[in-house]
Amino acid sequence: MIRTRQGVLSWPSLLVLMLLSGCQAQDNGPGSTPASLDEPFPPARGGQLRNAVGADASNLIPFIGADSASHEIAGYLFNSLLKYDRNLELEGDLAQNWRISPDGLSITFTLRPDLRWADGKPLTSADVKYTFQTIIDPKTHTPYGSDYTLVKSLETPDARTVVVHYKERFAPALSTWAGLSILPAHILKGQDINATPFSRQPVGSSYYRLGNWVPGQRITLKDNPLSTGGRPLISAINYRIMPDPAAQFLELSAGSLDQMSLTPVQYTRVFPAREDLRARYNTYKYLGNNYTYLGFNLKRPPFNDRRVRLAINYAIDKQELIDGVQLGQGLVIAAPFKPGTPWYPRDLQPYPYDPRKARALLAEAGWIDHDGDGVLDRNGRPFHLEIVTNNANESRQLAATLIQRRLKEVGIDVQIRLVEWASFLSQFINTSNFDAVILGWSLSLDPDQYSIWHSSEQGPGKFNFIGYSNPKVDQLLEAGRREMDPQRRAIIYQNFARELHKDAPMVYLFAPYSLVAVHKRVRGIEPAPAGIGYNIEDWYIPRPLQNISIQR
Amino acid sequence: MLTYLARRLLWMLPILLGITLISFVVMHLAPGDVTSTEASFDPRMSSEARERLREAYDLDKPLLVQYGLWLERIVQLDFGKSFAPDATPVIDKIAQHLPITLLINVLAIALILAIAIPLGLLSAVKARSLFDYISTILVYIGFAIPSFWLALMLMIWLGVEQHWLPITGLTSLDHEQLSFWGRTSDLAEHLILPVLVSAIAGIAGFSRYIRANTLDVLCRDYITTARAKGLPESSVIYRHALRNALLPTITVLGLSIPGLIGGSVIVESLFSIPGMGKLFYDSVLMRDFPVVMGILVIGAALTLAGNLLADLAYAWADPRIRRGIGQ
Repeated sequence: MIRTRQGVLSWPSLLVLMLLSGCQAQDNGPGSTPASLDEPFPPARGGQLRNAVGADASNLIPFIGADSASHEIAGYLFNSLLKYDRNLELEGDLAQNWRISPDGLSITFTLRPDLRWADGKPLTSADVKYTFQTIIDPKTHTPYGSDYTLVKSLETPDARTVVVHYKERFAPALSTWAGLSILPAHILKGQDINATPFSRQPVGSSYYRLGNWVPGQRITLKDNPLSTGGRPLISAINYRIMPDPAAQFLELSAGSLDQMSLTPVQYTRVFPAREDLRARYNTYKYLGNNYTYLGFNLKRPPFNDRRVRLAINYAIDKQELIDGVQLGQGLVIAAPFKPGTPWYPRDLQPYPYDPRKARALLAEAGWIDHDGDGVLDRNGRPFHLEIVTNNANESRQLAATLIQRRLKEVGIDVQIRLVEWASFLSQFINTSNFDAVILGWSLSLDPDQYSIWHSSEQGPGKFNFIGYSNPKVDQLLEAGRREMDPQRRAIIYQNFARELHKDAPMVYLFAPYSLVAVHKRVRGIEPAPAGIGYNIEDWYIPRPLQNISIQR
Repeated sequence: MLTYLARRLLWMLPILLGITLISFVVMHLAPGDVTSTEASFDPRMSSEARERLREAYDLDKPLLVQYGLWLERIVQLDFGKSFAPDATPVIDKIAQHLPITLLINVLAIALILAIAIPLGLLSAVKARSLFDYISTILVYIGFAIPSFWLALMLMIWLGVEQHWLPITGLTSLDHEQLSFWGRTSDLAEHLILPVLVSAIAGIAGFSRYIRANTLDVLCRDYITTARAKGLPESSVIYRHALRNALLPTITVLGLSIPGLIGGSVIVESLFSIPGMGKLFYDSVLMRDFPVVMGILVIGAALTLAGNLLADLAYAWADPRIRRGIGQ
């Protein structure tokens, strides 16, 4: 999923941040002195976590509510058969174990014993079957059914066993079962999933259950004593719906929020300048699952020429982008994978900033400044390039501006066009009507990127909209989907990344860090490759720090 | 009078129909639909799934057919269901957001009237005095300050630094546990900043309007006559001038009715208030056509009703207009 859109008021937000960095708020944090916040206290049950979310959830049935707010809330309520652990490796969630048949065509999941829904009813393989049948039902309004098109049949020989048979070997299968939240058949059977009251009164099996939902204002989650993984230590999570990031930061400054994602400005400028914030909040930084790129329209000359793409790659100073756009909070990458994962080839280096090489490559491709106007030309046509991106994403606009300057230095005239999101998708992306775009991809935890890179995935509404076509890459993507052995699979994707790097169909600009502030009263956080939220059940608020005035 | 009313009401139908047709067409002219918005730009979503969704929302049909279907529903007062994943009936969505916006805007208008009328009147009566100059300067400052900036400054000062007022939201997290009076004062505290920020520009504009009207009225012959008769100045101002000076405000109030339900995106976003402005803005971005149309229809109907009410109130207040209608 593409990550886009800051809030609707991003420039005022910036203004207030600049102002805030100059003004020191007095520290009367809620109910505790900064000194007690640094004291070690033993873990305790109770307390409530005060969070903010940018929009109201829409539908808490996970595969129908595709918006990020619904996803975040539903993530506390439901379990899948499998899940990713702190090191982003698969482990059992509802499933105690799983077994892949030697031919790679069947997976047998065995559920944990004595699983219960939050209403006390048993959770069985029938629930898994119901969920599967619902997501593949064409009548269900979900975009995610296609993950299961290769499933031939799903059998439930007994209450604890689920056997899935595939038409062909499909290596991302396990990851798709880690992404499918299991719903309670005993409540939903016979109902229209698209219009069920369950979407607002869900019953799940995970650490929390829905408490109170005041539409547009707040959502409260309470701990679920019957939870599959045991009762969480924090008794309640309170989400306040706050669309404006500047307002969220004001609430953080006032001590009324326990947790918030920070912008690079807040992380690198505001926090170091504000003693009161540092006294009350810990900050965390970890590599996110997404990257920003400059993608070319490979069907359009001169971007169908590898030398031109390489030249642009050499002409862009990626570290300058990270420093200028992300204030240093990002990483240069050389492959469309998260660095540190098995599929990211360690030896692969990003193209360095080398304008001389860029000019040489452009000259080799026939682009020379014949008329001396500073812009390269070939056959009498100057080298113009239009970069399109969406208007509500400030970091992409800044990146476009820096790229514009660097490309001008090698003789390429760049125009920037900013377009509203829905228009951007329908007029430029779906019709492949662009020279170059700045966008980002969020990475799934499985390395399969068939829908983005395979040559068959071109056409209106498909995701290979840059028009990439390389038989070798196609073959590797197909092999990667069939290979069930993790080590051999990793090698396939490393080769895929190398082939992409050689071909340079896009310029990987940067992979940004996720930056988070969490109130010091919240303990038990252990940053890991998966971030910080993976062990929410072990977070706790020490008893002396639980009684705070809830919100001012 | 009754014929006039009937004629006006009948006229409203074709106007309303015209408004809906134009709104419908203009909205569908904007590129993209709900299946091409942010949440759907996910490699896991196949193009077949997107087509199925388009079918489910009737978006694959010709525009006029879509309009016909919509019109067919709307004459039965069925506003349809939102395209958002919650699939809430549009009318419920509006009913959820409208009271909040109404409350804030009614309070803001009350505040505007309470401050702007005396301020404008006093400025007119004491025209070109020190008071007039100072109030003019203040009023222009109030007019010029962008509301988001003012809101942020007030939030930082009163919320973060002084801890006097809550910064965002409509209620505290423990609202449900409070007593009736506790809940009322909790709500009132949360409303102070949004109402104040919503009212500032209105106070500035409205007080200028009253001042100009009053100055205009004060030059009239009947005021000179009243003064010549030896009436005390207070009586001249409050009994003769004020009523006539306030007459045009009826029109302005009538015109502000759609604003009452329209809400303000900026104030609602900043203060995290789930009002109509935010709902409308989000629905347009999401291309949630049923919600956008629902809000537009209700807005248009209320605008027309507001105009009618203003005309009627005007006729009631001013005998000259009443006579004109009679003819």
